[in-house]
Amino acid sequence: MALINHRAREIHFKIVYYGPGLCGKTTNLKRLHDRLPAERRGRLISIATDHERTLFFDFLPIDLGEIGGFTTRFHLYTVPGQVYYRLSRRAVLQGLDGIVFVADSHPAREEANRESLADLGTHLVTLGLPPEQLRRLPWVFQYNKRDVPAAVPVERLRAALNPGRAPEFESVASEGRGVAETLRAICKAVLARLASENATRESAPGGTPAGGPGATEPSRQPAWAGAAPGA
Amino acid sequence: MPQWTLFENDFRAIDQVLDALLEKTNALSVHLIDRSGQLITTSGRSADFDATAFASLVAADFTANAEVSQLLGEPSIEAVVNEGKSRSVYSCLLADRVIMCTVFDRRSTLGLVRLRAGRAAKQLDSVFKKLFEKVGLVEAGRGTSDFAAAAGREVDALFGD
Repeated sequence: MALINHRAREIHFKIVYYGPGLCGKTTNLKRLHDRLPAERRGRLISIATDHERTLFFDFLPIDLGEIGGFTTRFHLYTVPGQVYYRLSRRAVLQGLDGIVFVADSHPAREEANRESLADLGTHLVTLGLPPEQLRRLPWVFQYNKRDVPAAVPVERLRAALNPGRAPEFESVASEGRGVAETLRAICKAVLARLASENATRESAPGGTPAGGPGATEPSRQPAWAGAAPGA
Repeated sequence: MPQWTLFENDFRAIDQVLDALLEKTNALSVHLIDRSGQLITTSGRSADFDATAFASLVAADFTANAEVSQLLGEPSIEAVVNEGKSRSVYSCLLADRVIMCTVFDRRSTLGLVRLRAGRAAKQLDSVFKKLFEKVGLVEAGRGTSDFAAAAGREVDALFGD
């Protein structure tokens, strides 16, 4: 949920990286933290176990600077991927503006990818998002670990996870490959949604005026979005 | 999720309540934090810690504790207390989605903070509920498309090759 604070002149967006255990969510944030200039990012917070498995979440704030008089920030979160942290994942999803689903390309993780996506669908419905908002929620898919031997073909991952053809990227997060592209895509999708909501409001009967036409492409999502979860 | 816009006049009533809470409890600072982890406003002294990180951790902590309460069969959670050696934090929920977080030291007591924070939360509850009724009705977006386009260019500059 974008928070527009006119006193602080700030706009905040929340993006959540979701996916099965050890798929590379935390690695995405670490590589972004390494890559971004210090003045554009805050401290990377990791609530992890002694073995560096995410226990609750990782958090990285990114500062786009002042745009139109408003300091614009993206808050990036990861969820713990292991199956038994189900309730922790739901806690992190509160108030999200966009999702990056990180899939593991290892052949042994195909089922884990599918289960994680179904789990995400269940949580989004549990959080009480109306179907219309669920349908418009921006999504980006990242097929990570493309360097593993016998990686699952992208076509197969797409068919299983992303039949709705949301933006998708191949990556090797450990090398930083595909990481920035993924974040750039979800940031732009979230901004497009902000613009389109206000454009919609402008065109609606009795709606309030907005600032003219913007990027209004609706989000493309997994097949279950807006329908039965966990399909 | 719908965007949520806070204008300067929204803050007037909020400021009054937070300032009064600080004065009556001798607390160090009070913070309003959205459950998504975003800081809404602060009253008092908070310059010596990372407020952004603080907000994200408080929100996650509160939500995790709410889940613990549900597991124990409680319908909701009243408050979360973080007791430190020199500074402590008392967090409670208002209007179902805003966490009011009071930071205090030995010049105050948990009992006093709990009492006064409870009263302040009741006052703010109605303020925020009225505010949420406006969600989707406020004029949020003169120039929003321009903003989104400009922000998109910044994103490209930051992450482009």
